Amino acid sequence: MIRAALRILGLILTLMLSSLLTGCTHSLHISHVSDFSPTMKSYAAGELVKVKKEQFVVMGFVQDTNYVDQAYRDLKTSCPGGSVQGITSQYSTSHGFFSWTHYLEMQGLCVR
Amino acid sequence: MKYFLFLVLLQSLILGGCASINSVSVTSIPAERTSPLKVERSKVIVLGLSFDNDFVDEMVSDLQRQCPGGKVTGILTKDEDINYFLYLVYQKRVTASGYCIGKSAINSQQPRKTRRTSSEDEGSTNEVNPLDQDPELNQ
Repeated sequence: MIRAALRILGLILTLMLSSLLTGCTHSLHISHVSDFSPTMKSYAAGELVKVKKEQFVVMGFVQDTNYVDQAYRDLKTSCPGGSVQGITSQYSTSHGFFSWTHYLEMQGLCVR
Repeated sequence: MKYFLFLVLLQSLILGGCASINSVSVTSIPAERTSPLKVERSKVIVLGLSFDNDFVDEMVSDLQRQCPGGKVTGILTKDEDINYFLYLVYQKRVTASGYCIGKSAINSQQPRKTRRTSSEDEGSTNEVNPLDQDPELNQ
């Protein structure tokens, strides 16, 4: 009985370890959609702007979250003189072996 | 025992200030970006003992206060944890920065940094001139 339980436990651990080693787990933490203005032009009238930033983390050793501010700055600079509407922001993580990568993607419609 | 203490000390030194994001959101960014504003709230939590989240409640009124009669938009909201020691002691920090349109933001006219501490909760309040901290906000 105990031997069978240990065998199942070993199988579970092996599966978990293999998933960690191959980095096959991903998780989406949040997906947010901003407001659409009533005067928003059609997509054909605007320009789709996208930014993607990432942060590689080894065992949680990071001291800042500046990549978020950088993504925001890049989104603004990608639309000089215009407004960015209907912004979707996605924050996700891809896991590796004792390390993981955070991804932040923002995209919106630049209307001038 | 000495080895264990050394490891704990080393870990606390290394992990001190490790940051992680909980959530991020952005609202529509205006074309007029001349009046940036920023509000930051934080709360230190020990042993996970936190009985309310009131420290974020006044963020909206703080933003309104910085933009009287105007519209606050282009708000980047960042919710992050700063881990000081094995998540036994950590800080929850919420930051909202955006732009005031229609009227000039109060903070953009006042270069002085203003800070106040809320006595109603354990959280701290920072109303910060965003131009002091992030000159690129004005882009």
